[in-house]
Amino acid sequence: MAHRILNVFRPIVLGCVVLVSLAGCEKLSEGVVREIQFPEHTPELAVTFLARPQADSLVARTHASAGILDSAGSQKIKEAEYTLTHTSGATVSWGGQDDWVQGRGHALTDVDLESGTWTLTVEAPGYESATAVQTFPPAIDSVGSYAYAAAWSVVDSTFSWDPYWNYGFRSFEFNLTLPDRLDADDLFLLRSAQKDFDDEGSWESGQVIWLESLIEDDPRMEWNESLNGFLIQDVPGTQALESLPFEVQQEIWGEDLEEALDSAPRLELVALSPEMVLFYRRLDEIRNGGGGLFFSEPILAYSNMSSGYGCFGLYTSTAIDLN
Amino acid sequence: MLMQAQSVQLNGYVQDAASGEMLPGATLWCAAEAVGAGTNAFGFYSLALPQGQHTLTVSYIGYTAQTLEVNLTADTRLDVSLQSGVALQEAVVRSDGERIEDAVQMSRVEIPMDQVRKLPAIGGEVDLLKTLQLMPGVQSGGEGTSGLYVRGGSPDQNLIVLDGVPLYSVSHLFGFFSVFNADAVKKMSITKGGFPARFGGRLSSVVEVQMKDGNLRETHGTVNVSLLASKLMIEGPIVKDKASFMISGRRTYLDLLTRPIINAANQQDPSIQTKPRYFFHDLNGKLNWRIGERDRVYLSLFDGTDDFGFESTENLGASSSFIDFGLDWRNRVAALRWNHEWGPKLFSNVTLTRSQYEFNTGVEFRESFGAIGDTNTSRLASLYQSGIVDLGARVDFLYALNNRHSLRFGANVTLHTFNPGATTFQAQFEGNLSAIDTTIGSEQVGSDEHFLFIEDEMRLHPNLKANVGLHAALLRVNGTDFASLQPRASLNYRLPDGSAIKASYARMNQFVHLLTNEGLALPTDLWVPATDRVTPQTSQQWALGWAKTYGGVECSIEAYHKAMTGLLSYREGASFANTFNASWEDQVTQGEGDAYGFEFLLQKKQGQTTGWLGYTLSWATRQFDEINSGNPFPYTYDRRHDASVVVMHTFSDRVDLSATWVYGTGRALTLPESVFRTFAPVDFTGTNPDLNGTTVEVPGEKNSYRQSPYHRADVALTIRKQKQRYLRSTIISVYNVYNNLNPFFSLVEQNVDGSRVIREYGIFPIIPSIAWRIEF
Repeated sequence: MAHRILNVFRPIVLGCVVLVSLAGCEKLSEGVVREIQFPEHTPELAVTFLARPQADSLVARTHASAGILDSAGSQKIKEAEYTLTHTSGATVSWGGQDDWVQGRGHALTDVDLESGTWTLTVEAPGYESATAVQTFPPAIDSVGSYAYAAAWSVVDSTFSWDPYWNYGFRSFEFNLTLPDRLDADDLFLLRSAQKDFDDEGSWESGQVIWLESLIEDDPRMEWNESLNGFLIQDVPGTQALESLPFEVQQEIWGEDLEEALDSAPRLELVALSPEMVLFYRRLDEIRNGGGGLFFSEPILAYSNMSSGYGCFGLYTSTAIDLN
Repeated sequence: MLMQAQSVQLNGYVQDAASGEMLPGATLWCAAEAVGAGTNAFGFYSLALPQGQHTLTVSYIGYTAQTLEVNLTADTRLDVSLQSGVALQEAVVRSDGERIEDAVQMSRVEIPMDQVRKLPAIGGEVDLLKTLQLMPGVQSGGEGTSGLYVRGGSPDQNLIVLDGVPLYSVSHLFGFFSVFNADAVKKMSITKGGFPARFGGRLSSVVEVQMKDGNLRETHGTVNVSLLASKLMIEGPIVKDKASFMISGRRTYLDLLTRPIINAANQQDPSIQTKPRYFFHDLNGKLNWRIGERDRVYLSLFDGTDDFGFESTENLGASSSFIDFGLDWRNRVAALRWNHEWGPKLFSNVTLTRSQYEFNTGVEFRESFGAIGDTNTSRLASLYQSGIVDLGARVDFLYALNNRHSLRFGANVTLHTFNPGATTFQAQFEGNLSAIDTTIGSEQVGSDEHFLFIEDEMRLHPNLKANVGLHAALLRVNGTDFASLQPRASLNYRLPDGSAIKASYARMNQFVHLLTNEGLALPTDLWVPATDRVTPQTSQQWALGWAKTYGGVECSIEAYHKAMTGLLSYREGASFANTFNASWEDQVTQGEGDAYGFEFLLQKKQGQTTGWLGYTLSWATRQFDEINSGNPFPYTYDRRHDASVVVMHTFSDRVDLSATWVYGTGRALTLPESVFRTFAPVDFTGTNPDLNGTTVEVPGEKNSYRQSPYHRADVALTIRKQKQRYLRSTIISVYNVYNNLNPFFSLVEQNVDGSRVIREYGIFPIIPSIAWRIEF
C-alpha cells in the first residue's frame, strides 16, 4: 500500500522539486538583495541662524532638504528672506540674492538686537515658510559687571619653553563658577577661542590647544563635537555650577613664539538658549550614533522651526583670557 | 445543596499505557452531567460527580479515547491508561473529550508534539518556538528567528517556563534556533491572554514547556541527524514503574565541518593562522521517582551554551601578534518538584528552582616585537559580562471543592541577582608602562519577588462558567517596594447552538525588563530589574471571543485590546555599548504601548489530515516622551496582517507530508529619509566669519518605513521504515520553497556612480535539507 502511494507521489514530488529548482535558480542568480522604491521627499527649508545681541556680522543660511536617494544633496537657497520681529514690534529684515556672501550665507551686518524674545520668519519661493521663537539668555559676563556673571580663578599653571626648537608649552588649571538661577535653566558653552594647528598652523609655526574637564563623567557637562566645546548645564533646583575645574593646555611653536606667548589663551563662554543646546546635542548624537543601524536606536534631528529643519538660536557670550 | 451532599470525588492520574508517563492536559468528560476535568501538569485530576452510574470519556490528543463505565458510591481513585495512536498503528485517532467551547480558558493554544515533529524545519532542525510563531497573535522577530512577539508585546514579556522554571534566553545561534530540543519535550502550550491567577511576572504570554518524564517501563531512545546538528535522547526505567530517567543532548557541527577547509586555507600562508569557531549544545535531563501512591519527585536539569569566536595568529620573524575574540552565552536551569496528593480533593506541588543566564564577550590582543632573543611583549584584554541568577521556591495547591468550584492557590518567592554589565580591562606592557587591571560598569543588583494567588474555576450556571482569581505580587529592590494586585477573570457562556462566547480580563505586572535594541535581538540584551528610577511594566488586557467545534475542526475568533505602561527602551542613540562605562539606568526611557486586534483560528488536531489556518489583523503602537519627539509610533513588529496555513497529511503509516505557508505585513523600520545642511559658528565672540558646515541625515518618523511583506512556503516529506529493532524516518524538507527574498535588514547604500539606493537583504534563500531519525 505504502509502495503504491509512494509510486503515485514520486513523480509529483520530483516534478515539484524540478519546478521549484527552476524557479528558485533564477532568483538565486539575483542574490538575496532587492533594491526598493522609497517615497519621494518633499523639500523643506533647513534654516540655521544663531545670533548674539551685538556683532559686526552674523550669517544665516537656508538649505533645501533633499531625499536620501537624491545624489545632488541639500542645496542652498539664495532667495531665502529673513525677518526678525521683537515682541516690542521692532523688525530686522535681510536676505535674498543681494545679501548672499559667497561661501558663507546671508549676512546680517552691524547687528544690534535688544534683549528679550524674537521671532524669526524665513520665506523662500516654493517652500512653506518657517518660524521660530527664541528668547535671549541674560548677558553673560566674566568680569562681574552684570548680574549674570561668571567668575574664574587660575589654580595652577605650568610653563616650559625651548628656544632652540622655538617650542613652548603651558597649562592652566582653573576653577569656573557660573551663574545658576534657581528658577530657570542655565546652559553654557565653554570653548577655546584660538584656532588650532588643524585650522591654520603649519610645521613652521602654529599651536594646539586642549580644553579638558578635570572631573570625569560629570553629569553637568558634556563635550560637544559640533560646537567644539563643553556644554554645561545646571542641576534643576540647586546651585551646582560652582568651582567647576578645567585645564587648558597649549603647545606653541614657530618664530613668533614669544609674541604668541605674550597673549593669554582665550576661552569663549557662551550662554545659550535651550533649543540651541538641544539642536547641537542632537547633532552630536546623530554623528556619534552608537553602533549603527542594528545596535542603537535611530535618532531624530531636533528642530525648533515650525516646519522643515534647522535651528534659530540666541546666545550671549564673553571672553575669558587666562593669565 | 442536595446535589452537593450526594456528590463523591473521583480522582487519579491519566498516563500513557506503554510508558507510564503522565499525560498533562488530558480530559475526563461526563456527558450526562455535562461536567469534566482536565489533568494538571502532573497528570492528576479530581472530579466531583453524583453517586451512581456514570459514563466517562477520557481523551488526550494523539491517543485513543477511552470510555469508562463507573459506579460511584464513595470517593474513588481511578488511574486511567491511554493507548497512543502511534503505538496502535492507527492513522486516525478520535477524541470525544472536552472541546474548545467547553473550556473557560481562552487565548490558549496547544500544539501536539507529534505535529511539531512533522512540520518542515530549516536545516531539518525542528523548533518549538518557530511552530508557535505559526499561531495567530504570535509573530516572529524576523527571518528565521525564534523570538516571540505576542499580541504587540516584546520578547521579554513572554514567561517561558521549562518544567516550571523561567528561562531568560531561549535562543541559540543569535536567535535562529530555540533552546528547546523537541525530542526531550512532552508538551508545549502558549497562553496569550485571559491569564489565570496562577500565572504572573510577564505581560504578554506564558509558554509552558514540559520535558518528558522518562519511560517507566522500557528503555527507548531516538537519534536525530540533520545537516546542522545531531541529537540523542534516551529514556527508561531506573526501577520499573517507580523511577525513570530521560537524558537528551544536541550539538551543532558547523565548526567541525568547516575545520578541514580552514586548515587548508591556513596552510596556504603558514604565517597567518585563523581559527573561527561557532557551536551550540544543550543537555536536558530529568529524573522521575514515584515515592508512593501519593508522592512523586521530579528533578529537571537543562544546560544550553553557545560559543562564538575566532583566534588569529600572525608570525613575522621574531615578531608575532595574536588576537582572540569570543562571545558566549549560557542558560542553566534546575528544578526539583515534589507532588503530594493529600486526599481525593487536594493536590500540591512544591518547586525549588535555579535559573541562570550569563553572557560574556571578550577580546585579547597580544603582541611581541623585536629581534630574536630581545622581544617586547604587550597584552591588552577586555571582558564584558552580564547575566541574571534566580533562586525560587513555589507551592501550588489544587483543591477540587465540588463540581461547581475548583480552587487553585499558592505562593512563590524568587531571589534575583542581576548583573547588568561590567567590563574588566587588563593591560600589561614591558618597559616602563604600568599594568592596568580594572573593572567598570554597572553594579550587581539584588531583588526579591513574591507573589500569592488564588483562583476559582466555577460553574455558575449550566451554561455559564468562570475562572476568577487574584494575583498579588511584591518586589523589593534597593530598599524600594513595588506592590501590585492583579485581578483576573474569564467567562464562558454556552449559546443554544452549542457554541460559546468567551470573555476575559487580566491585569499583569512585570518586575524585570529586557534592555534591547529594536533593530536586532542579541544575546547582549540585558535583563534589568525595576528600580527606584525604573518602574515595573504593567498591562491590562481585555479579550472577547467565540468558539465552536464543527465535526473535529475547532473554530475560534477573538478580539483583544492590551494597554501597557512602564515599557523600557534605550534612549535615542543609546545601545548596550553605552552600558560599558555608564549606568544602564542613564541610557533608558520609559513609555506606553497599545495593542489591539482580531484573531481567527481553524484547527484540526485529529485525523489523517490535520493542521490549522490562522489569521491576525492587529495594530501595535508605542509612545515614549523621549523618543520620536513624544509622538506615538508603530511598534517594529506592528503587523497589520499575519496569516499562516499549516497542513499535515498522513498517507500511510510510512509516509507523511506537511506544508506551511506564512504571510506577514512588512516590519516597521526607521530609515534615513532626508538630508539637510547646517553649520556651527567657529567664533562666538569675535569677528571670524567662518562656519563649520555639516550634512545631517535625518531618519523619518520612528518606524515609519515598511519592509516588503514576508511570505514563505515550506514542505516536508517524512518516510518511515520499520526495521527489526528500530523505526527509521527520513525527513526531506525544503525551506522557502519558492525562494522568496524575505528582508532581514534594509540599508541605504551608495552606488559606484554616486547614486543612492535602498536595498533589502535577505539571508535565507530556498534551503533543501535532509534529516534522519531513528527510534528504538
